[in-house]
Amino acid sequence: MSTLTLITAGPYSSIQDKGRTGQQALGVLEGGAMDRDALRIANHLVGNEENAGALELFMGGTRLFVSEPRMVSLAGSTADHAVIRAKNGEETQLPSGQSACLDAGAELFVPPLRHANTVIIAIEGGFDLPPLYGSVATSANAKLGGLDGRLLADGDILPLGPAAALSLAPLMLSDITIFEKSEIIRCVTGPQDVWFTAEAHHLFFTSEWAITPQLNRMGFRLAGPALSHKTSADILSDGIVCGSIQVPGDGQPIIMMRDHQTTGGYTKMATVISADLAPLARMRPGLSLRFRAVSQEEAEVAARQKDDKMQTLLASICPV
Amino acid sequence: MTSAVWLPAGDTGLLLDFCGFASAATDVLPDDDVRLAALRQARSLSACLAEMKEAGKIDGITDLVPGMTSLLIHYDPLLTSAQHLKTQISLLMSSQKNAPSSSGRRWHLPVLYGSDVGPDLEEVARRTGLSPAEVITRHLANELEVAIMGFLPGSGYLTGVDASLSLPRRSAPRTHVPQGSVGIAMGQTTIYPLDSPGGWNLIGKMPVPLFDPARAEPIMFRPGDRVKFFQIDEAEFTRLKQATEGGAMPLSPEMTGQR
Repeated sequence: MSTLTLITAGPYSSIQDKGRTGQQALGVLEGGAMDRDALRIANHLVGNEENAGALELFMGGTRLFVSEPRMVSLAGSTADHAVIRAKNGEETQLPSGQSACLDAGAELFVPPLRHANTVIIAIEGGFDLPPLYGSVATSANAKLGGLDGRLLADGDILPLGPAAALSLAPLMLSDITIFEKSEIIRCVTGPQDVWFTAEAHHLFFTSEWAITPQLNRMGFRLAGPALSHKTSADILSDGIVCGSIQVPGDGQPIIMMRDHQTTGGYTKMATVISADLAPLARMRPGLSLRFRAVSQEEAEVAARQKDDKMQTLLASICPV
Repeated sequence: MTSAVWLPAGDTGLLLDFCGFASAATDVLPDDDVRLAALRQARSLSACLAEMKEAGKIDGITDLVPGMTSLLIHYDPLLTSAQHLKTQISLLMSSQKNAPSSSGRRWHLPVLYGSDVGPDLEEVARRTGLSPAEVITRHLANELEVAIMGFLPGSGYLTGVDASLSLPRRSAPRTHVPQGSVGIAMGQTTIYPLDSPGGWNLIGKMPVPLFDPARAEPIMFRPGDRVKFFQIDEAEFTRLKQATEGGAMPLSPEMTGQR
Protein backbone atom coordinates (compact mmCIF):
# COMPACT_ATOMS: atom_id res chain seq x y z
CA MET A 1 0.00 0.00 0.00
CA SER A 2 1.30 3.48 -0.90
CA THR A 3 1.24 5.92 1.96
CA LEU A 4 1.91 9.50 2.92
CA THR A 5 3.53 10.08 6.32
CA LEU A 6 3.20 13.34 8.22
CA ILE A 7 6.41 13.93 10.16
CA THR A 8 4.77 17.10 11.47
CA ALA A 9 1.12 17.77 10.63
CA GLY A 10 1.02 21.47 11.45
CA PRO A 11 -1.80 22.98 13.53
CA TYR A 12 -5.40 22.52 12.29
CA SER A 13 -4.41 20.52 9.17
CA SER A 14 -7.06 18.21 7.75
CA ILE A 15 -8.19 16.24 4.72
CA GLN A 16 -10.72 18.17 2.64
CA ASP A 17 -12.58 17.79 -0.62
CA LYS A 18 -15.62 19.59 -2.02
CA GLY A 19 -17.66 18.60 1.05
CA ARG A 20 -20.82 16.56 1.52
CA THR A 21 -24.19 17.78 0.41
CA GLY A 22 -27.77 16.59 0.56
CA GLN A 23 -27.89 15.52 4.24
CA GLN A 24 -28.16 18.86 6.02
CA ALA A 25 -31.77 18.13 7.00
CA LEU A 26 -30.28 15.39 9.20
CA GLY A 27 -27.75 17.77 10.75
CA VAL A 28 -24.84 16.56 8.60
CA LEU A 29 -22.82 19.69 7.86
CA GLU A 30 -21.26 20.38 4.47
CA GLY A 31 -17.61 20.94 5.31
CA GLY A 32 -15.08 20.91 2.49
CA ALA A 33 -12.07 23.04 1.54
CA MET A 34 -12.14 26.65 2.75
CA ASP A 35 -10.60 27.63 -0.60
CA ARG A 36 -12.42 25.61 -3.25
CA ASP A 37 -10.59 27.40 -6.07
CA ALA A 38 -7.32 26.10 -4.62
CA LEU A 39 -8.74 22.57 -4.24
CA ARG A 40 -9.79 22.39 -7.90
CA ILE A 41 -6.52 23.81 -9.18
CA ALA A 42 -4.29 21.71 -6.92
CA ASN A 43 -6.04 18.53 -8.04
CA HIS A 44 -5.79 19.45 -11.74
CA LEU A 45 -2.04 20.04 -11.31
CA VAL A 46 -1.51 16.41 -10.24
CA GLY A 47 -4.00 14.84 -12.67
CA ASN A 48 -6.69 14.08 -10.05
CA GLU A 49 -10.45 14.49 -10.34
CA GLU A 50 -10.89 18.16 -9.34
CA ASN A 51 -12.80 17.54 -6.12
CA ALA A 52 -10.63 14.68 -4.81
CA GLY A 53 -9.48 14.72 -1.18
CA ALA A 54 -6.34 16.75 -0.49
CA LEU A 55 -4.48 18.20 2.51
CA GLU A 56 -5.72 21.55 3.77
CA LEU A 57 -3.05 23.30 5.83
CA PHE A 58 -4.31 26.11 8.02
CA MET A 59 -1.01 27.46 9.28
CA GLY A 60 1.68 25.48 7.48
CA GLY A 61 4.62 24.05 9.38
CA THR A 62 3.92 20.69 7.74
CA ARG A 63 6.59 18.12 6.85
CA LEU A 64 5.80 14.92 4.96
CA PHE A 65 7.11 12.12 2.74
CA VAL A 66 5.58 9.46 0.48
CA SER A 67 6.39 5.75 0.17
CA GLU A 68 6.57 5.83 -3.63
CA PRO A 69 7.08 8.69 -6.13
CA ARG A 70 3.99 10.90 -6.52
CA MET A 71 3.18 14.23 -8.12
CA VAL A 72 2.40 16.86 -5.50
CA SER A 73 1.08 20.40 -5.88
CA LEU A 74 0.46 23.48 -3.77
CA ALA A 75 -2.31 26.04 -4.37
CA GLY A 76 -4.20 28.83 -2.64
CA SER A 77 -1.69 31.61 -2.09
CA THR A 78 0.02 34.25 -4.24
CA ALA A 79 3.25 33.98 -2.24
CA ASP A 80 3.42 30.98 0.12
CA HIS A 81 5.39 28.00 -1.18
CA ALA A 82 6.75 24.58 -0.24
CA VAL A 83 10.29 23.23 -0.24
CA ILE A 84 11.23 19.79 -1.56
CA ARG A 85 14.37 18.33 -0.04
CA ALA A 86 15.78 15.50 -2.18
CA LYS A 87 17.47 12.42 -0.75
CA ASN A 88 20.88 13.99 -1.45
CA GLY A 89 19.94 17.09 0.58
CA GLU A 90 19.35 19.35 -2.41
CA GLU A 91 16.43 21.77 -1.92
CA THR A 92 14.06 23.11 -4.57
CA GLN A 93 11.09 25.41 -4.18
CA LEU A 94 7.58 24.34 -5.11
CA PRO A 95 5.75 27.63 -5.77
CA SER A 96 2.00 28.04 -5.39
CA GLY A 97 0.18 26.95 -8.55
CA GLN A 98 2.73 24.32 -9.57
CA SER A 99 3.28 20.59 -9.25
CA ALA A 100 6.47 18.55 -8.95
CA CYS A 101 7.46 14.94 -8.40
CA LEU A 102 8.10 13.96 -4.80
CA ASP A 103 10.42 10.94 -4.83
CA ALA A 104 10.51 8.24 -2.20
CA GLY A 105 13.08 9.33 0.35
CA ALA A 106 12.50 13.04 -0.36
CA GLU A 107 10.66 15.37 2.01
CA LEU A 108 8.19 18.13 1.38
CA PHE A 109 8.10 21.01 3.86
CA VAL A 110 5.58 23.86 3.97
CA PRO A 111 6.92 26.77 6.05
CA PRO A 112 4.45 28.63 8.31
CA LEU A 113 1.97 30.44 6.04
CA ARG A 114 2.45 34.20 5.79
CA HIS A 115 0.06 35.26 3.08
CA ALA A 116 -3.06 33.06 2.96
CA ASN A 117 -4.96 31.37 5.81
CA THR A 118 -4.91 28.00 4.07
CA VAL A 119 -3.14 26.23 1.25
CA ILE A 120 -4.05 22.96 -0.41
CA ILE A 121 -1.48 20.22 -1.00
CA ALA A 122 -2.82 17.71 -3.53
CA ILE A 123 -1.19 14.31 -4.01
CA GLU A 124 -1.49 12.30 -7.22
CA GLY A 125 -4.01 9.52 -6.58
CA GLY A 126 -5.64 11.27 -3.61
CA PHE A 127 -6.37 9.44 -0.36
CA ASP A 128 -7.81 5.96 0.00
CA LEU A 129 -10.21 6.72 2.87
CA PRO A 130 -13.82 5.60 3.34
CA PRO A 131 -16.21 8.32 2.16
CA LEU A 132 -19.14 9.30 4.38
CA TYR A 133 -22.13 10.54 2.37
CA GLY A 134 -19.89 10.74 -0.69
CA SER A 135 -17.09 12.80 0.84
CA VAL A 136 -13.83 12.36 2.76
CA ALA A 137 -13.90 15.97 4.05
CA THR A 138 -13.05 16.34 7.73
CA SER A 139 -15.37 18.28 10.05
CA ALA A 140 -13.55 17.82 13.34
CA ASN A 141 -16.26 19.49 15.49
CA ALA A 142 -18.80 16.94 14.27
CA LYS A 143 -16.22 14.12 14.16
CA LEU A 144 -16.99 13.47 10.49
CA GLY A 145 -14.87 12.19 7.62
CA GLY A 146 -11.12 12.33 7.01
CA LEU A 147 -9.05 10.18 9.32
CA ASP A 148 -11.40 9.05 12.16
CA GLY A 149 -13.19 12.42 11.97
CA ARG A 150 -10.25 14.29 13.44
CA LEU A 151 -7.56 16.80 12.56
CA LEU A 152 -4.25 15.39 11.37
CA ALA A 153 -1.51 14.71 13.92
CA ASP A 154 2.25 14.22 13.84
CA GLY A 155 3.12 10.69 12.76
CA ASP A 156 -0.15 10.02 10.90
CA ILE A 157 0.22 7.62 7.99
CA LEU A 158 -2.38 8.17 5.26
CA PRO A 159 -3.19 5.53 2.61
CA LEU A 160 -2.95 6.89 -0.93
CA GLY A 161 -5.18 6.03 -3.86
CA PRO A 162 -3.77 4.47 -7.04
CA ALA A 163 -1.46 6.72 -9.05
CA ALA A 164 -2.09 7.44 -12.72
CA ALA A 165 -0.68 4.82 -15.08
CA LEU A 166 1.25 7.42 -17.07
CA SER A 167 3.80 9.52 -15.26
CA LEU A 168 2.91 13.19 -15.37
CA ALA A 169 5.19 16.09 -16.13
CA PRO A 170 5.34 18.95 -13.58
CA LEU A 171 2.57 21.39 -14.43
CA MET A 172 1.90 25.05 -13.72
CA LEU A 173 -0.92 27.54 -13.71
CA SER A 174 -0.38 30.38 -16.21
CA ASP A 175 -1.58 33.04 -13.78
CA ILE A 176 -1.84 32.88 -9.99
CA THR A 177 -3.77 36.11 -9.48
CA ILE A 178 -6.78 33.83 -8.92
CA PHE A 179 -5.29 33.28 -5.42
CA GLU A 180 -5.54 36.96 -4.47
CA LYS A 181 -7.44 38.10 -1.40
CA SER A 182 -10.26 40.61 -1.63
CA GLU A 183 -10.85 43.55 0.71
CA ILE A 184 -14.20 44.23 -0.92
CA ILE A 185 -16.60 41.40 -0.18
CA ARG A 186 -19.86 41.37 -2.11
CA CYS A 187 -22.99 40.21 -0.32
CA VAL A 188 -26.74 39.95 -0.78
CA THR A 189 -28.71 41.49 2.11
CA GLY A 190 -31.00 39.16 4.03
CA PRO A 191 -32.56 36.85 4.94
CA GLN A 192 -33.14 38.73 8.25
CA ASP A 193 -31.95 42.22 7.31
CA VAL A 194 -35.28 43.76 8.35
CA TRP A 195 -34.47 42.83 11.97
CA PHE A 196 -31.76 45.52 12.07
CA THR A 197 -32.09 49.26 12.63
CA ALA A 198 -31.52 51.73 9.77
CA GLU A 199 -28.32 52.80 11.53
CA ALA A 200 -27.08 49.18 11.58
CA HIS A 201 -27.70 48.91 7.81
CA HIS A 202 -25.72 52.11 7.23
CA LEU A 203 -22.85 50.98 9.48
CA PHE A 204 -22.71 47.51 7.96
CA PHE A 205 -22.05 48.80 4.44
CA THR A 206 -19.90 51.85 5.28
CA SER A 207 -17.60 50.52 8.02
CA GLU A 208 -14.26 48.83 7.84
CA TRP A 209 -14.49 45.38 9.49
CA ALA A 210 -11.39 43.92 11.12
CA ILE A 211 -10.72 40.20 10.71
CA THR A 212 -10.07 38.98 14.26
CA PRO A 213 -7.89 36.01 15.30
CA GLN A 214 -11.14 34.18 16.11
CA LEU A 215 -11.13 32.52 12.74
CA ASN A 216 -11.50 28.85 11.98
CA ARG A 217 -13.21 26.44 9.60
CA MET A 218 -16.57 27.19 11.23
CA GLY A 219 -16.53 30.96 10.99
CA PHE A 220 -14.73 34.32 10.85
CA ARG A 221 -15.51 36.74 13.64
CA LEU A 222 -15.31 40.41 12.62
CA ALA A 223 -14.82 43.50 14.79
CA GLY A 224 -16.25 46.96 14.16
CA PRO A 225 -19.10 49.19 15.31
CA ALA A 226 -21.93 47.36 17.08
CA LEU A 227 -24.89 46.61 14.81
CA SER A 228 -28.15 47.10 16.68
CA HIS A 229 -31.26 44.99 16.29
CA LYS A 230 -34.72 46.55 16.30
CA THR A 231 -35.94 44.15 18.98
CA SER A 232 -34.01 40.91 19.26
CA ALA A 233 -31.07 38.93 17.84
CA ASP A 234 -32.86 35.61 18.26
CA ILE A 235 -35.07 33.98 15.65
CA LEU A 236 -36.70 30.57 15.40
CA SER A 237 -33.90 28.37 14.05
CA ASP A 238 -33.58 28.20 10.29
CA GLY A 239 -31.08 26.81 7.76
CA ILE A 240 -27.69 28.38 7.11
CA VAL A 241 -25.62 28.64 3.91
CA CYS A 242 -21.86 29.05 3.70
CA GLY A 243 -21.25 32.82 3.75
CA SER A 244 -24.21 33.67 6.03
CA ILE A 245 -23.37 36.71 8.15
CA GLN A 246 -24.87 36.12 11.59
CA VAL A 247 -25.11 38.96 14.06
CA PRO A 248 -25.73 37.83 17.65
CA GLY A 249 -26.71 40.15 20.50
CA ASP A 250 -23.26 41.73 20.83
CA GLY A 251 -23.68 43.28 17.36
CA GLN A 252 -20.42 41.86 15.95
CA PRO A 253 -20.80 39.86 12.71
CA ILE A 254 -19.68 36.27 12.30
CA ILE A 255 -19.31 34.96 8.74
CA MET A 256 -20.25 31.28 8.65
CA MET A 257 -17.63 29.27 6.75
CA ARG A 258 -17.43 25.64 5.52
CA ASP A 259 -17.96 23.89 8.87
CA HIS A 260 -20.98 26.04 9.72
CA GLN A 261 -23.74 24.32 11.62
CA THR A 262 -26.74 23.31 9.51
CA THR A 263 -29.28 25.46 11.39
CA GLY A 264 -29.03 28.41 13.75
CA GLY A 265 -31.09 30.85 15.76
CA TYR A 266 -29.35 34.20 15.18
CA THR A 267 -30.41 36.93 12.78
CA LYS A 268 -28.50 37.02 9.51
CA MET A 269 -27.86 40.47 8.05
CA ALA A 270 -26.50 39.35 4.67
CA THR A 271 -24.82 36.51 2.79
CA VAL A 272 -21.39 36.63 1.12
CA ILE A 273 -21.77 35.70 -2.56
CA SER A 274 -20.27 32.34 -3.59
CA ALA A 275 -17.76 33.97 -6.00
CA ASP A 276 -16.17 35.85 -3.08
CA LEU A 277 -15.95 33.00 -0.56
CA ALA A 278 -12.46 31.84 -1.58
CA PRO A 279 -10.94 35.37 -1.68
CA LEU A 280 -12.53 35.95 1.76
CA ALA A 281 -11.15 32.67 3.12
CA ARG A 282 -7.61 33.95 2.33
CA MET A 283 -8.00 37.12 4.44
CA ARG A 284 -5.80 36.87 7.52
CA PRO A 285 -6.37 38.32 11.01
CA GLY A 286 -5.31 41.95 11.18
CA LEU A 287 -6.60 42.73 7.69
CA SER A 288 -9.92 44.44 7.21
CA LEU A 289 -12.72 44.30 4.68
CA ARG A 290 -15.75 46.22 3.50
CA PHE A 291 -19.07 44.85 2.35
CA ARG A 292 -20.68 45.86 -0.92
CA ALA A 293 -24.33 45.04 -1.60
CA VAL A 294 -25.34 43.26 -4.80
CA SER A 295 -28.69 41.76 -5.80
CA GLN A 296 -29.31 38.01 -5.81
CA GLU A 297 -29.38 38.14 -9.66
CA GLU A 298 -26.03 39.99 -9.79
CA ALA A 299 -24.57 37.40 -7.40
CA GLU A 300 -25.72 34.58 -9.67
CA VAL A 301 -24.13 36.30 -12.68
CA ALA A 302 -20.90 36.67 -10.66
CA ALA A 303 -20.96 32.93 -9.89
CA ARG A 304 -21.24 32.08 -13.59
CA GLN A 305 -18.49 34.56 -14.55
CA LYS A 306 -16.25 33.11 -11.86
CA ASP A 307 -16.81 29.60 -13.19
CA ASP A 308 -16.04 30.71 -16.77
CA LYS A 309 -12.82 32.31 -15.57
CA MET A 310 -11.89 29.12 -13.70
CA GLN A 311 -12.56 26.94 -16.76
CA THR A 312 -10.31 29.17 -18.89
CA LEU A 313 -7.59 29.06 -16.25
CA LEU A 314 -7.75 25.26 -15.85
CA ALA A 315 -7.52 24.87 -19.63
CA SER A 316 -4.34 26.99 -19.61
CA ILE A 317 -2.44 24.66 -17.26
CA CYS A 318 0.80 23.74 -19.04
CA PRO A 319 4.11 21.93 -18.40
CA VAL A 320 6.61 23.87 -16.26
CA MET B 1 -49.79 29.53 2.93
CA THR B 2 -50.87 33.09 2.05
CA SER B 3 -48.28 34.58 4.39
CA ALA B 4 -45.30 32.63 2.97
CA VAL B 5 -42.40 34.97 2.16
CA TRP B 6 -39.35 34.40 -0.07
CA LEU B 7 -36.07 35.66 1.38
CA PRO B 8 -32.66 35.57 -0.33
CA ALA B 9 -29.70 33.72 1.24
CA GLY B 10 -26.99 34.85 -1.18
CA ASP B 11 -26.71 33.17 -4.59
CA THR B 12 -26.84 29.63 -3.19
CA GLY B 13 -29.87 29.80 -0.91
CA LEU B 14 -33.55 30.70 -0.94
CA LEU B 15 -35.44 30.81 2.34
CA LEU B 16 -39.18 30.30 2.23
CA ASP B 17 -40.68 31.52 5.49
CA PHE B 18 -44.13 30.08 6.08
CA CYS B 19 -45.44 32.36 8.80
CA GLY B 20 -43.74 35.60 7.91
CA PHE B 21 -41.92 35.48 11.23
CA ALA B 22 -38.37 35.72 9.94
CA SER B 23 -39.30 38.80 7.97
CA ALA B 24 -41.49 40.49 10.57
CA ALA B 25 -38.73 41.75 12.91
CA THR B 26 -40.69 40.98 16.01
CA ASP B 27 -39.70 39.15 19.13
CA VAL B 28 -43.31 38.17 19.71
CA LEU B 29 -43.33 34.50 18.81
CA PRO B 30 -46.23 33.33 16.69
CA ASP B 31 -48.86 31.21 18.41
CA ASP B 32 -48.06 27.52 18.74
CA ASP B 33 -50.68 26.45 16.20
CA VAL B 34 -49.38 28.97 13.62
CA ARG B 35 -45.84 27.78 14.23
CA LEU B 36 -46.79 24.13 13.98
CA ALA B 37 -48.71 24.71 10.74
CA ALA B 38 -45.63 26.47 9.28
CA LEU B 39 -43.36 23.62 10.36
CA ARG B 40 -45.65 21.07 8.72
CA GLN B 41 -45.80 23.11 5.51
CA ALA B 42 -42.00 23.35 5.47
CA ARG B 43 -41.56 19.61 5.94
CA SER B 44 -44.27 18.75 3.46
CA LEU B 45 -42.78 20.97 0.73
CA SER B 46 -39.31 19.65 1.55
CA ALA B 47 -40.49 16.05 1.06
CA CYS B 48 -42.21 17.00 -2.18
CA LEU B 49 -39.13 18.78 -3.58
CA ALA B 50 -36.83 15.96 -2.47
CA GLU B 51 -38.99 13.52 -4.42
CA MET B 52 -38.95 15.75 -7.53
CA LYS B 53 -35.19 16.19 -7.23
CA GLU B 54 -34.75 12.42 -7.00
CA ALA B 55 -36.96 11.90 -10.05
CA GLY B 56 -35.05 14.56 -12.03
CA LYS B 57 -38.10 16.81 -12.25
CA ILE B 58 -36.41 19.89 -10.79
CA ASP B 59 -32.84 21.04 -11.42
CA GLY B 60 -30.21 22.76 -9.36
CA ILE B 61 -31.42 22.04 -5.81
CA THR B 62 -28.43 20.82 -3.77
CA ASP B 63 -30.00 20.46 -0.32
CA LEU B 64 -33.25 21.08 1.56
CA VAL B 65 -33.24 22.14 5.21
CA PRO B 66 -36.53 22.58 7.07
CA GLY B 67 -36.34 25.12 9.90
CA MET B 68 -38.80 25.77 12.72
CA THR B 69 -41.12 27.78 10.42
CA SER B 70 -39.22 27.83 7.14
CA LEU B 71 -37.55 25.83 4.39
CA LEU B 72 -34.04 26.68 3.19
CA ILE B 73 -33.49 25.59 -0.40
CA HIS B 74 -29.77 25.31 -1.19
CA TYR B 75 -29.16 25.68 -4.93
CA ASP B 76 -26.36 25.76 -7.49
CA PRO B 77 -26.43 29.06 -9.43
CA LEU B 78 -24.65 27.33 -12.34
CA LEU B 79 -27.67 25.03 -12.79
CA THR B 80 -30.65 27.23 -11.92
CA SER B 81 -31.57 30.69 -10.60
CA ALA B 82 -33.56 32.00 -7.67
CA GLN B 83 -36.14 33.46 -10.02
CA HIS B 84 -36.59 30.18 -11.86
CA LEU B 85 -36.90 28.21 -8.62
CA LYS B 86 -39.44 30.67 -7.18
CA THR B 87 -41.61 30.32 -10.28
CA GLN B 88 -41.38 26.51 -10.27
CA ILE B 89 -42.03 26.17 -6.54
CA SER B 90 -44.85 28.74 -6.37
CA LEU B 91 -46.62 26.82 -9.12
CA LEU B 92 -46.07 23.60 -7.23
CA MET B 93 -47.42 25.07 -3.99
CA SER B 94 -50.61 26.30 -5.62
CA SER B 95 -51.36 22.78 -6.88
CA GLN B 96 -49.70 20.77 -4.13
CA LYS B 97 -51.64 17.99 -2.59
CA ASN B 98 -50.80 17.68 1.08
CA ALA B 99 -47.61 15.66 1.07
CA PRO B 100 -47.04 13.88 4.36
CA SER B 101 -45.17 16.02 6.87
CA SER B 102 -44.72 13.22 9.38
CA SER B 103 -42.34 10.32 8.87
CA GLY B 104 -44.92 7.80 10.13
CA ARG B 105 -42.36 6.35 12.55
CA ARG B 106 -42.34 6.15 16.34
CA TRP B 107 -39.32 5.41 18.52
CA HIS B 108 -39.51 4.02 22.05
CA LEU B 109 -36.27 5.25 23.57
CA PRO B 110 -34.71 4.06 26.84
CA VAL B 111 -33.38 6.69 29.27
CA LEU B 112 -31.39 6.30 32.47
CA TYR B 113 -32.38 9.34 34.57
CA GLY B 114 -30.49 11.28 37.24
CA SER B 115 -27.29 10.52 39.16
CA ASP B 116 -24.02 10.99 37.24
CA VAL B 117 -25.63 10.87 33.80
CA GLY B 118 -28.30 13.49 34.58
CA PRO B 119 -26.37 16.02 36.68
CA ASP B 120 -29.03 18.75 36.38
CA LEU B 121 -32.04 16.68 37.47
CA GLU B 122 -31.97 18.03 41.06
CA GLU B 123 -31.63 21.62 39.85
CA VAL B 124 -34.42 21.20 37.30
CA ALA B 125 -36.59 19.86 40.12
CA ARG B 126 -35.75 22.84 42.34
CA ARG B 127 -36.37 25.42 39.60
CA THR B 128 -39.67 23.90 38.53
CA GLY B 129 -40.85 23.29 42.11
CA LEU B 130 -41.28 19.58 41.43
CA SER B 131 -39.67 16.51 42.96
CA PRO B 132 -37.01 14.73 40.83
CA ALA B 133 -39.39 11.77 40.49
CA GLU B 134 -42.14 14.09 39.25
CA VAL B 135 -39.77 15.67 36.69
CA ILE B 136 -39.07 12.17 35.33
CA THR B 137 -42.78 11.27 35.28
CA ARG B 138 -43.61 14.42 33.33
CA HIS B 139 -40.71 13.94 30.93
CA LEU B 140 -42.01 10.44 30.21
CA ALA B 141 -45.62 11.56 29.83
CA ASN B 142 -45.78 13.08 26.36
CA GLU B 143 -45.07 11.72 22.93
CA LEU B 144 -42.54 14.13 21.40
CA GLU B 145 -41.86 15.03 17.78
CA VAL B 146 -38.53 15.53 15.97
CA ALA B 147 -39.39 19.04 14.77
CA ILE B 148 -36.16 19.83 12.94
CA MET B 149 -32.70 18.32 13.02
CA GLY B 150 -29.33 19.91 13.75
CA PHE B 151 -27.09 21.36 14.80
CA LEU B 152 -24.86 18.26 15.03
CA PRO B 153 -25.17 15.19 12.76
CA GLY B 154 -28.16 13.16 13.88
CA SER B 155 -29.36 15.48 16.64
CA GLY B 156 -32.90 16.78 16.67
CA TYR B 157 -35.05 19.32 18.45
CA LEU B 158 -37.84 17.28 20.08
CA THR B 159 -40.93 19.39 20.73
CA GLY B 160 -43.96 18.69 22.87
CA VAL B 161 -42.32 18.47 26.32
CA ASP B 162 -44.72 19.06 29.24
CA ALA B 163 -44.98 22.86 29.70
CA SER B 164 -44.10 22.66 33.41
CA LEU B 165 -40.57 21.56 32.43
CA SER B 166 -39.88 24.61 30.24
CA LEU B 167 -36.63 26.22 31.40
CA PRO B 168 -34.05 28.39 29.63
CA ARG B 169 -30.64 26.93 28.73
CA ARG B 170 -27.99 26.98 31.47
CA SER B 171 -26.48 30.46 31.79
CA ALA B 172 -22.97 28.99 31.49
CA PRO B 173 -22.80 26.20 28.88
CA ARG B 174 -20.69 23.16 29.74
CA THR B 175 -17.52 22.71 27.71
CA HIS B 176 -18.04 18.95 27.66
CA VAL B 177 -21.37 17.13 27.44
CA PRO B 178 -21.02 13.35 26.99
CA GLN B 179 -22.59 11.62 23.99
CA GLY B 180 -26.09 10.32 24.71
CA SER B 181 -26.93 12.98 27.32
CA VAL B 182 -30.62 13.89 27.37
CA GLY B 183 -31.16 17.62 27.87
CA ILE B 184 -34.19 19.85 28.24
CA ALA B 185 -34.56 23.58 27.51
CA MET B 186 -37.17 25.94 26.03
CA GLY B 187 -39.92 23.32 26.13
CA GLN B 188 -37.80 20.94 24.05
CA THR B 189 -35.64 17.88 24.54
CA THR B 190 -32.43 17.05 22.75
CA ILE B 191 -30.08 14.07 22.86
CA TYR B 192 -26.39 14.80 22.23
CA PRO B 193 -25.17 12.65 19.29
CA LEU B 194 -21.49 13.27 20.12
CA ASP B 195 -19.35 14.51 22.98
CA SER B 196 -19.61 18.27 22.53
CA PRO B 197 -20.02 21.56 24.37
CA GLY B 198 -23.62 22.33 25.30
CA GLY B 199 -25.95 24.41 27.44
CA TRP B 200 -29.05 22.24 27.88
CA ASN B 201 -30.15 21.01 31.33
CA LEU B 202 -29.03 17.38 31.51
CA ILE B 203 -31.48 14.99 33.16
CA GLY B 204 -30.44 11.58 31.83
CA LYS B 205 -28.71 9.52 29.18
CA MET B 206 -29.77 7.35 26.23
CA PRO B 207 -27.53 4.30 25.58
CA VAL B 208 -27.96 4.06 21.79
CA PRO B 209 -26.00 6.65 19.76
CA LEU B 210 -28.11 8.85 17.45
CA PHE B 211 -25.20 8.91 15.01
CA ASP B 212 -22.73 6.12 14.30
CA PRO B 213 -20.82 6.13 10.97
CA ALA B 214 -20.24 2.36 11.42
CA ARG B 215 -23.98 1.63 11.14
CA ALA B 216 -25.70 0.74 7.87
CA GLU B 217 -27.89 3.78 8.53
CA PRO B 218 -25.63 6.13 10.49
CA ILE B 219 -28.43 8.51 11.55
CA MET B 220 -31.44 7.28 13.56
CA PHE B 221 -33.91 10.15 13.37
CA ARG B 222 -35.82 11.63 10.46
CA PRO B 223 -37.66 14.94 10.74
CA GLY B 224 -41.23 14.17 11.79
CA ASP B 225 -40.35 11.04 13.81
CA ARG B 226 -42.33 10.58 17.04
CA VAL B 227 -40.48 9.76 20.25
CA LYS B 228 -41.71 8.24 23.52
CA PHE B 229 -39.20 7.73 26.33
CA PHE B 230 -39.21 4.93 28.91
CA GLN B 231 -37.11 4.68 32.06
CA ILE B 232 -34.38 2.05 32.44
CA ASP B 233 -31.97 1.15 35.24
CA GLU B 234 -28.20 1.02 35.12
CA ALA B 235 -28.03 -2.72 34.32
CA GLU B 236 -30.31 -2.27 31.29
CA PHE B 237 -28.33 0.79 30.22
CA THR B 238 -25.10 -1.25 30.24
CA ARG B 239 -26.75 -4.12 28.37
CA LEU B 240 -28.10 -1.83 25.63
CA LYS B 241 -24.81 0.04 25.39
CA GLN B 242 -23.02 -3.26 24.75
CA ALA B 243 -25.63 -4.18 22.14
CA THR B 244 -24.58 -1.16 20.03
CA GLU B 245 -20.94 -2.19 19.69
CA GLY B 246 -19.45 -2.61 16.21
CA GLY B 247 -22.25 -0.69 14.50
CA ALA B 248 -25.08 -2.94 15.78
CA MET B 249 -28.50 -1.35 16.27
CA PRO B 250 -30.71 -2.79 19.03
CA LEU B 251 -33.67 -0.44 18.41
CA SER B 252 -36.02 0.00 15.52
CA PRO B 253 -38.90 2.41 15.02
CA GLU B 254 -42.51 1.32 15.03
CA MET B 255 -44.40 2.19 11.85
CA THR B 256 -47.52 4.05 12.92
CA GLY B 257 -49.17 4.42 9.54
CA GLN B 258 -50.04 7.98 10.59
CA ARG B 259 -48.66 10.49 8.13
